[in-house]
Amino acid sequence: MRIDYWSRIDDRALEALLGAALALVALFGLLQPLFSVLGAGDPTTARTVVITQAAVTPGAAAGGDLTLTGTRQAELALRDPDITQRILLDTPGILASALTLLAIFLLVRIVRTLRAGEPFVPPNARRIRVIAAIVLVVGVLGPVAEAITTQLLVRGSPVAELVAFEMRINAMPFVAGLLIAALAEVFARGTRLRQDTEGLV
Amino acid sequence: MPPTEEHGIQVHLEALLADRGMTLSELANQVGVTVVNLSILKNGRARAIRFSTLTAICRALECQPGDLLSCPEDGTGRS
Repeated sequence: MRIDYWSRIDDRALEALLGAALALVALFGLLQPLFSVLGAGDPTTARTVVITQAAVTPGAAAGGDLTLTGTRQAELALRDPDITQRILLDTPGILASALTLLAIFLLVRIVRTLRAGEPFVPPNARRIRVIAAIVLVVGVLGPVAEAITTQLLVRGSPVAELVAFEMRINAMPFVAGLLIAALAEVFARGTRLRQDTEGLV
Repeated sequence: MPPTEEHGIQVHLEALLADRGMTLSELANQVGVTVVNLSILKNGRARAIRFSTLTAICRALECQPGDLLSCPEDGTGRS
């Protein structure tokens, strides 16, 4: 006797969960930072950075706008950042959130095909490939964007020499991206198998 | 499976059902195949049939595969 562990209710629940994730990422990952860049909300004023030596706070005594506190890692804080600085502070997060939104949207489209009982279709193989690319890109682009924007933030300031140009690239997104790419190939093969058995009774 | 191609197999399911006074739904219940798939078979839109399905249909209709399927000699689907 065949037992189906996944039912229509599970499809709906998964779609609802993804919809909630979409809304949360859109709201807190994209809209809120965009509003804060435009000055409509509480702006981001600080970021964790890697520093080259034990920190001092050059310029703090002189009332500079940038302060640096910490040892290997430090918090780079900006007092009253202007719009350019707000853009630089929020760009890595906005980029990552935008790509995450796209990935979640594609997942929602995939789940809808589950509901229709037709998951092994060419569009799903394409969607999963795009999700794999997104995971890989976010894994690389995120740290690169953060490193570049950090350097642009401190350029010309007393703390510029203390802040290292370091890209903290994590291996996990690469592994995850490769796994998802393998899954995309599984779906592509499944699509071909399904096409082969179309019309089979 | 070979690539999509026309075939010349004729399916005589409708005639057999009429002969036995059975409906497609009744046959579907006996055979364990959906009415949709049996309809595909009946209307000549099936591309392949499982031996298990063929066996079940033959047992339900008390017939031989040759009663259900035929292949005209010229292979064009015309007798």
